[in-house]
Amino acid sequence: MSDDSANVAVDDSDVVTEEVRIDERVVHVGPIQRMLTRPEVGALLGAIAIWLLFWAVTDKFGTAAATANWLDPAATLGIMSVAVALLMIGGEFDLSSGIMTGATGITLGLIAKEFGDNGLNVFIVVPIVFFLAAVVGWLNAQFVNRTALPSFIVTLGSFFVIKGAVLGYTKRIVDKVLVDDLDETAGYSGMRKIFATEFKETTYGWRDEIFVIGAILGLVILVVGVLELTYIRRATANPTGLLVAVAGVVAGIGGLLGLLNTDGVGTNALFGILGAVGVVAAMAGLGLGRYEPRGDVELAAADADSDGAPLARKRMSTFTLVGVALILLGIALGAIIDSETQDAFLFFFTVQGFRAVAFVGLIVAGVALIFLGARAGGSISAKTRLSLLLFAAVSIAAVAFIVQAMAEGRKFRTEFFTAMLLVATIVVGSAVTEFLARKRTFSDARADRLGRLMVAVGMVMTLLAWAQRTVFTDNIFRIAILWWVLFTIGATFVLLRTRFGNWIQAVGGNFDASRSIGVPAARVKTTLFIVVALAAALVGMCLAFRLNSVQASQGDGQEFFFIIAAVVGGNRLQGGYGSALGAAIGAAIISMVRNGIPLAGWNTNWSFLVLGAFLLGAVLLNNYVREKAEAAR
Amino acid sequence: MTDSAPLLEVRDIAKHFGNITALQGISTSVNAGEVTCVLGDNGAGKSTFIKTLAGVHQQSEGQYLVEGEEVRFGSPREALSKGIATVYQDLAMAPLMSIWRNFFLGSEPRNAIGMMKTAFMKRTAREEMAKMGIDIRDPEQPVGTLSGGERQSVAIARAVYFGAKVLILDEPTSALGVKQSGVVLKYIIAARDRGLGVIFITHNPHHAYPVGDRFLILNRGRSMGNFAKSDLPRDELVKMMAGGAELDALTHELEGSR
Repeated sequence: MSDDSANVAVDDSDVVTEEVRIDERVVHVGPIQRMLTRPEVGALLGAIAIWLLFWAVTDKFGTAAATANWLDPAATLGIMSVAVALLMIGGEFDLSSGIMTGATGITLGLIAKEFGDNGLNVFIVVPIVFFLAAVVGWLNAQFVNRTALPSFIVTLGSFFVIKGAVLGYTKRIVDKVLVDDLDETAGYSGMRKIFATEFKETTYGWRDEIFVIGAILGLVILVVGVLELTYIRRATANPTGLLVAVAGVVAGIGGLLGLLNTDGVGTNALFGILGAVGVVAAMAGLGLGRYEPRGDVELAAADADSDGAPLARKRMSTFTLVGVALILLGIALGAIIDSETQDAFLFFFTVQGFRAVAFVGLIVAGVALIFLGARAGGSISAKTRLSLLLFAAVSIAAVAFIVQAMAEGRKFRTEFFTAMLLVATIVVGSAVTEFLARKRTFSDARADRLGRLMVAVGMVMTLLAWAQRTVFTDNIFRIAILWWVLFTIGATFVLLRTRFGNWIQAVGGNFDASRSIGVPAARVKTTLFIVVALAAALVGMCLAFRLNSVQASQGDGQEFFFIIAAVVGGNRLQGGYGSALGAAIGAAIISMVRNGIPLAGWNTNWSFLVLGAFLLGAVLLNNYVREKAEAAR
Repeated sequence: MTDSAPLLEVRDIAKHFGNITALQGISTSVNAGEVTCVLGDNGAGKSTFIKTLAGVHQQSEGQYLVEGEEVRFGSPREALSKGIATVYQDLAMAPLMSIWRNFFLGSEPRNAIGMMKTAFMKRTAREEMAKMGIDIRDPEQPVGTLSGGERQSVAIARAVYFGAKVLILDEPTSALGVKQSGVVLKYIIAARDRGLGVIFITHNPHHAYPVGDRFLILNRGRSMGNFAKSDLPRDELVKMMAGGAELDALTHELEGSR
């Protein structure tokens, strides 16, 4: 294969295919199924469940202050788990990654304070520390590459070497097991800006308005994007449908704004109904106005010609009914959770603990069952499907109304009610749209591009709206969160869109094969070990400049949390498959559990039990999702 | 280079490892649009022969000609640059990676800022597979979910796309069932019809005979003959592969011991 021939081929077909916009040979995979095949989806669902659990059983979780509290440790954990995930996908471990976060800090302190007579300016020391960290990563890689021993044992060795060296040198040079008063060093305040700036915003005039508008607009764009990916666009738009959609959007936004700005049972019910009608009208109007209508023939067809139809319908209605029942039970339990009076000890064995776990468990199980039911209904008629989905959504909405009428505080009366109602109305809207419009079964590059763009923009807008509401309070946010977000985005991009990312997956998936086909496998691993060591140095700097002192034992034992976060995030322990974004979500989950348990007043001794259960659950879920994903294709 | 020169030709090739003779006096050729089958039992020297062709080993004696020009490969990469691609049994693929990622692995096309051209890669992987007569529904499908025969076809399509003129297939049917083997034989025909020279290594004469134009039979490092299809009836090939006289002797022995 010469480079020339490949390049020529590239240029040729680029010209050809721009003309072929709609290609009937490619089966169009729906947006939901496409999403489910991503490794981080399981982690995302887990994160939502954990958030709901702690939100329900505590007063503080979900407030900006508590969010700042768990985001902060999540940031440093997340930087490491993302780096460790990349290495794990490449098929290796680094058990020295934990101690490295402390070793880099200690090295910084020792050189900056004790070098020569007056120490050294940290602007010189920090680059030195990063360089030394890279050397450690390189050495780990050389050991692994040259001996072909498992990295588990090699880095276990380097872990102890580093741990011993840190303790020995610290004790010998400063006669203590920590380096403190880093702020006495030259250049400290400048470096602190890079690694440990604290943001504290107290003026935030338009915060809530921006949140509501941003979140609503984001959701609207997201939903339209999903529709665009699912249905066939009409040649010319139907003005009546679009008019209904516009009216629906206006009513929906009005209802939501009303809901969030008032807090009475009667007004909630009124605005809730207005909003629900608006959302359904908006989606149905769009379905009529923008997408091809579905013929009557097709509606009846499925029931008539499919032998499996009665069975499928029975299965779907059973799933839907049980799912709805579970959700109702969960919501009812959630509404009577009393977060004030709970026994701090043995929480899980108290009635409150049982209710809290059951609340989340039942809702998750219910949603899963309804989802399974909707999938099982592939061969039932559109009318049956519509009526079952409507039934499910209306029941959810009904219980949401009952709960808000009975609930004590604003949390369940307004916030939870709004969220549940929104879910129910979007289900109704989707069901109605599905009934009206014709599904796309072929690939349409233009619609796919637009739809994906809208989904991405919608998600980012909603997230940013939530983020600014969380940030603009009188809580302290540290810059490490920004480094975490940037590192995660960068790692995800590298993994999915670059040649090097391709090589990482290949080296972890089949080392010999990737080498024989020309991938510089040893170099890929070396780079990954160096990336982990550099990430450890970054975290070491963030902690050192924040705390102003470094313990010699800092980071010791943390390597297992990095690995847990990566695995919970959908990364395969054996390599070859995974997601940087998932590892970041895994770090958030661990951080939420660690922060939520004391907030809930539970005995913190339980946090390891919960983490362990999560690890096992995540491994099982990942296995299951991957098998499903591969079978579904 | 003349028009009549075969795409690949070896004349009296020998390969020694120290004082061991692994190959001796092997001659054969493959033309564009033809399939040459290399048959032999275990230990006959098939692997040594293809490794010599693929550039892993260098021949100790004899001539190796590509398009009439004598060559001597120092590495598989050199052989590849002359258009000689080898698809080994292990196929060099990562099972959890998608078809399109595997297809371009090691030679990913990139744009000006270093991003992979993912849309182009997915499209090309699908189109190249379609040319081999395989319709993949979704290029995102992990290679591990494909059947053994389909995986072979990905490896073959990949070699063809990256400019192979001669395709060396190392026992592509040995690990497959009857149906899957038939699928792979179809891909061999498809590659041949696209003007490639194919060297098909196998120990199964029933797989070789329907697709081959020329047969080289190896036994204990020596050539038992290099036949054109017209000179070699199927029964003769089967008999030679089954060990011919040796098998007759074995039959006698087994029956005699009863």
